[in-house]
Amino acid sequence: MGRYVIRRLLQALLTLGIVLFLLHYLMALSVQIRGNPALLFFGGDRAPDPAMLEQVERLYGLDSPCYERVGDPCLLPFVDRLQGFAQGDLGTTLNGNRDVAQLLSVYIPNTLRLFVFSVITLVVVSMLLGTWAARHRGRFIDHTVRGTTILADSVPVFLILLTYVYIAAVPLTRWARGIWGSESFMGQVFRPNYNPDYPWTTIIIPGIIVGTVGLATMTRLIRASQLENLGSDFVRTARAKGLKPMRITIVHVIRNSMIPIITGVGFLFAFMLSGAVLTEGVMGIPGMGRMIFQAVQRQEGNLVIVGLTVSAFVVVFVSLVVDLLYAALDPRIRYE
Amino acid sequence: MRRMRMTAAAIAAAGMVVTTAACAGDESDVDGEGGGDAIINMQIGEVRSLVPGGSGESEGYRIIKNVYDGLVYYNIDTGEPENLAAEEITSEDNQTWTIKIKEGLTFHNGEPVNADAFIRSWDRTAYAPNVLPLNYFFATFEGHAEMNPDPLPEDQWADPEVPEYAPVDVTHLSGVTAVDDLTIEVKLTAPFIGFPTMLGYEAFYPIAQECLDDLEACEKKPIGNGPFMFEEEYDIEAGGTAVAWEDYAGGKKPSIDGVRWHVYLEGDDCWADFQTGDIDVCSPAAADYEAAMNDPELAERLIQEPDPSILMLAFPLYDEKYQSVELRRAISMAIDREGVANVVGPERFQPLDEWVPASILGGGTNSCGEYCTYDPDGAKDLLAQAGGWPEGEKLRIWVNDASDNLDVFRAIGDSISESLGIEYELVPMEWTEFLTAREGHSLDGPFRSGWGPDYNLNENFLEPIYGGGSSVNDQGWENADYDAKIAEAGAAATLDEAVALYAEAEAILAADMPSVPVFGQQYNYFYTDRLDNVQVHPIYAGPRGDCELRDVVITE
Repeated sequence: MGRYVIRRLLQALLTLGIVLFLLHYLMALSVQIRGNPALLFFGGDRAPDPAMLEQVERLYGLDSPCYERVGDPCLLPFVDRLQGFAQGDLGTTLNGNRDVAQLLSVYIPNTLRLFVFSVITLVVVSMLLGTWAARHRGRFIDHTVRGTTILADSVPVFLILLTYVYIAAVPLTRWARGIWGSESFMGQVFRPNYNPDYPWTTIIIPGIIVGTVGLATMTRLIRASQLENLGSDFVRTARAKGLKPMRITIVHVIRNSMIPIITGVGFLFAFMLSGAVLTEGVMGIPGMGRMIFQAVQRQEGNLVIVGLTVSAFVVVFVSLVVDLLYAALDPRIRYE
Repeated sequence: MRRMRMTAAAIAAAGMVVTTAACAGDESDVDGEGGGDAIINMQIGEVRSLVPGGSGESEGYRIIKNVYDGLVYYNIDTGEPENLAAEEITSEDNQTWTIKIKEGLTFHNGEPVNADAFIRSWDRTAYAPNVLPLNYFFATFEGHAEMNPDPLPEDQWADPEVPEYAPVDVTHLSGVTAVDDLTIEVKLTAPFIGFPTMLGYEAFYPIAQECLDDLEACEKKPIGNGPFMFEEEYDIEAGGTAVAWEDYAGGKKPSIDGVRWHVYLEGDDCWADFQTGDIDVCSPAAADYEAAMNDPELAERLIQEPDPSILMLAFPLYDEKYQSVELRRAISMAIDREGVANVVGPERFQPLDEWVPASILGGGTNSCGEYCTYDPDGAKDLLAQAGGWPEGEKLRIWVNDASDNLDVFRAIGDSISESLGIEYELVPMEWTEFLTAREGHSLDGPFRSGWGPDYNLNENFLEPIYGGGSSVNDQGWENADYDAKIAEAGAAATLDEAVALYAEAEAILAADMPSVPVFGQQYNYFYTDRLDNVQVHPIYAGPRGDCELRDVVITE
């Protein structure tokens, strides 16, 4: 087990290293092809004094001549960057010269809060629906559940989001405030935009909406895995022993169906990151997804690299945890 | 669609039951929002800096101008500068200026607002190694060159492609001296009559010594000398609240108790929050505009005013094809400005036939006249005079691909194409790529050019865009008469004379037509019914909703 973990950790490090280099190379290419982002510092409409531009380039480490040669991987700046990272210096942004580490400390908690609600939504709803459908296999309920979840999944998140923000949110908020007042939980929860004064309340709805991404996949996964267990020998034995159906479902079926579910959640985590980009953008949540998206648009190379590295790290970490959970859930699985 | 809405609502309702318990506690983190105090809720975008000299964009300035008092404040109706922290601003030759500061003014922390407070701020901004965005405002000051030296000779560079600089050891603008505790003398490198007009801008605000000693803390909790002060830190993502400063002794005291700034980062929109009453002033996005205008109740609370930002189509005069002024005029006359505005939003754009819009001091000269009036036949004649359009070639229009630029310029291109019978191609570019190409003079057709003012003087629409010589400005335009006129205007005896001379310079520009004015823009702000006396500043207003916090009244 210990050796397995060490091997996986080393693999993870290698993956992250490759990701970092690729990102750095792409960023360098972007500067070489698209032009110097230091110009953005001056707002754009004004032609900056060459001396000032030079100062800005130096400030952001964009003054290396390799940025003038298209295709040059800019290894020297890459080493500088890695050294900076190793010392805990994540650099600064071009616009406003802000410390990236500090930005992350604002953005990461928001995305985590969003994920808390979306994972809860995803797992709870798909477990309920999947279990329900499995128990009524082939009957009307089964078909309805499958139909509804596929429908929910096939509508893109942004459509649900826009519909909510532009059609439902304002009347709902007004209605709720008319009854409970604007300072109440209900008066805040339906708000069309995230509000930092209510960091938990106003993130619930966006979290739930992100949670609908992959609902169909999860529900069907759960249904299939439970059906497999329902037909297994140990369930037949349990029935023969005269156990109650509820106990059979919870102890024998659900627990044994957890492996594909854990795998699914691990995979969907990466999907939800992309959902987060949209959700955070539409609902105004200062989170990682939106930060990366804006950074790409604004050519904030450093921010792009750090942001994507963090998300790569999370994905690698989650899949590691998922692999380790297998052993905990199923005694038949042991790592050597 | 309807189906999905119901699904979303149902899921929302289901999820709420699960999560209510987890969140009931966070109602305590409200700080006075919408409570009994007269606090206005304003939207704001991403702020770059809250220390004078560091922002240079509309959002930071909207906070800074309320937390600080500058030497002058701009009159809400005329936009002209009126003394605020200054007692008197005088000059005999427009080159050496004497500024007297009012007695007894202090910063929020009790430090005096004196000559040193201004000088330390200006020195900080003008010092090249500080790399502050408003550095260029001091380019006309004596001593700026020493603080912003040219690169070392080329043979001393380690890498032949990377210019190197000697370290800058001059930390004080030699042209600025404190005559006594409350008097500053400023020497400019050339006469500039518009100098007092610039002084109301953020670049010239004072900074407290305590702020300079700990800039990081001051960025979060500015120490100003204006009517609003921060008691808690401002957060770039979460906003902040500034309360009215009880000891404010300046001339523009607000009636409200404070302002809460709610942050909407790029791409977000305050309109939905305006509808729920969480934001007091907001401009709807194009998509919501129709509905807002058709709501009779809302229409009563609409402020529509010309925005001094303008949109132009500029020509690459470094390209052979565009040498003929007839061709440039032909293209201008071929644009049906009214028609295009109707396509892209008649409420947002107004046809423009001058380089300086009417809301700016010295603007409204209609200097483009007939050449900015739609006349397809006249345009064809001019094109023929210019020798026609090269057979089989397309007119390439270069645009940066942001917001609805493409729609606007497609409509402009269609109009040109229809009037002149030539084909066109829209070349969209990403913003930095566009800037690099525009500044590097590598475009081969007309390109988008926009401008918003730094201060209220027609000079600001002329010199920064068309000055500097053909190698510097984007159009590659140069005219000795124009340069002479600009210099003459700067040395004029009175502001009125100067404004008239700058207008003459605009006429010279109009005759050469290095760019074509297309649209002036317009603010469309709605406000909630709890506000009264909502004034929007004609020169400085945030693009997504703003009002003068020193004038606004909260009625409820």
